[in-house]
Amino acid sequence: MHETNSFKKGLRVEIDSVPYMMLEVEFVRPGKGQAFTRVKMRNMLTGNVLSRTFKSGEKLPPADIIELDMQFLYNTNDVYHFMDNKSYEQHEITKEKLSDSSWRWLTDGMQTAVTLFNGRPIAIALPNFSVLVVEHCEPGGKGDTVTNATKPATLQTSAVIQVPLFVKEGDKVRVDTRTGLYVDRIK
Amino acid sequence: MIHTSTPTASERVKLLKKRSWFIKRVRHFFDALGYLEVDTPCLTRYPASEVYIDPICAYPFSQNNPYFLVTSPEYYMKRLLLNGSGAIYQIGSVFRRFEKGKMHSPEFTMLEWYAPAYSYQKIMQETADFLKFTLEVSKVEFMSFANCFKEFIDIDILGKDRGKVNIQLSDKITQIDKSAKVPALDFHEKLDYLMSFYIQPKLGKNLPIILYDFLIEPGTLAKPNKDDMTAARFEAYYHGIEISNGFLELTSHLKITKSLLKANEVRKQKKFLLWPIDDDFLQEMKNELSPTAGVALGIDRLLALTMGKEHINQVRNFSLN
Repeated sequence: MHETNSFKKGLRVEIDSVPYMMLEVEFVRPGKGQAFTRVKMRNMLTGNVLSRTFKSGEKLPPADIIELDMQFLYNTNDVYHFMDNKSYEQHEITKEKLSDSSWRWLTDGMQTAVTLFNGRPIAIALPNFSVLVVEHCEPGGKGDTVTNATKPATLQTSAVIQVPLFVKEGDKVRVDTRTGLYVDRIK
Repeated sequence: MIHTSTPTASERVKLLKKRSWFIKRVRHFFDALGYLEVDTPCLTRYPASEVYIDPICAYPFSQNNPYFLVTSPEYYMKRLLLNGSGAIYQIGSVFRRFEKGKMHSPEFTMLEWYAPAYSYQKIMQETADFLKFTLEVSKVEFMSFANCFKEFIDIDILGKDRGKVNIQLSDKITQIDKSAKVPALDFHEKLDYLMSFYIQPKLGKNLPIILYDFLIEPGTLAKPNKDDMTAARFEAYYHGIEISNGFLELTSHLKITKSLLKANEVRKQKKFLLWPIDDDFLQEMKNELSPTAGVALGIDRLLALTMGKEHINQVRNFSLN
């Protein structure tokens, strides 16, 4: 159990079967009275941030959270399959559980860090950039020299992003997975 | 996180000089008033009986014989008063377990002074004078603790119908704190909660403010007022930070004993660790103290306020982490 005095940024605890990560911890005590610890924390399942106040001495159980390096193998419809780099054990994650829509940038063989809560995957962290094939886009406007003009393109993962007009079907493009924005075209 | 960045050598020297200058000014204030500077031990056989303050254990003689680091020099200084020391002050380190935060450190520098024969008015005025001198402000404001609750949250905490007051406090907490889930709180804890998170940040915005007539709390050796609900105890705040706490001292041996026992009883109810009661102190208190007023003040907080720093580690020469 974690007592209030060991609360700190980054500590992961479980409240009502939900894992939370502490973002900010503030110790407050009125002159002679009861001390409180106010914690801002993120629900690791939904990403929502909430603040809670604890009396000094209150205890919370640690959240059973581990992060494992895994390789993305393939997906069948909405089920994504990963393999633990060390144990070769396979894990399945459904699309809806892939918070922040990381499924959009997953390519076969990609190295990821998967967060497991009580042994079940709840989130994955991707490399900052992912290279994906453009499956569909309208032909670029010929002779169009307007610089910042873009058009929608559907990628191999069925994600849709904005790309410059010169990008063609079959091109490989690099996407920043943190922002979901086009970076450049790979020759 | 400003406070964790390592200060440069020249910043350290600057701080050393600033602290030294500041503490000289503090001494100057009390020396000029005829106070005697004293120094009492950091180690003590028994900790002070406080509901919400925990001591740090130390083992100076043997592994099975715990002593404690003082959480304040109060008991030692009162023993000096009984020996006829007259008006005394002390500047030194005190230690409190598990206190860490922007304005908390397990070790901090405390100023404590005792003035025999002072009235409640006189000790509050002297505290105000000290704040004017050290903070270089023209005026200090005063407000009673109960009025403070009326002013900020519109609740009469001294209301005759205690049940109603209790409900009003709970409603207020839910009303102002929708997002934060609040733990189960008793009456005093509700006051502490509202004070900590709602009222205190607004106190002393422009000028330091002294709140007086706090409610009677177990373990605090403050003299109760005639109304039997409040005590002759005050706290000073500036820019939302509590810097000082003072009171007219309980002098009766019986009442002091009862207060210490009550503090332990409350700790027991709250399932806190129980510490032994200071028998050495209680024995000496049998020769009752003459009326005395006393004040404790956090030097690091005061210095942080004068230097515009947000964390007391920024004004201590070394910080523990």
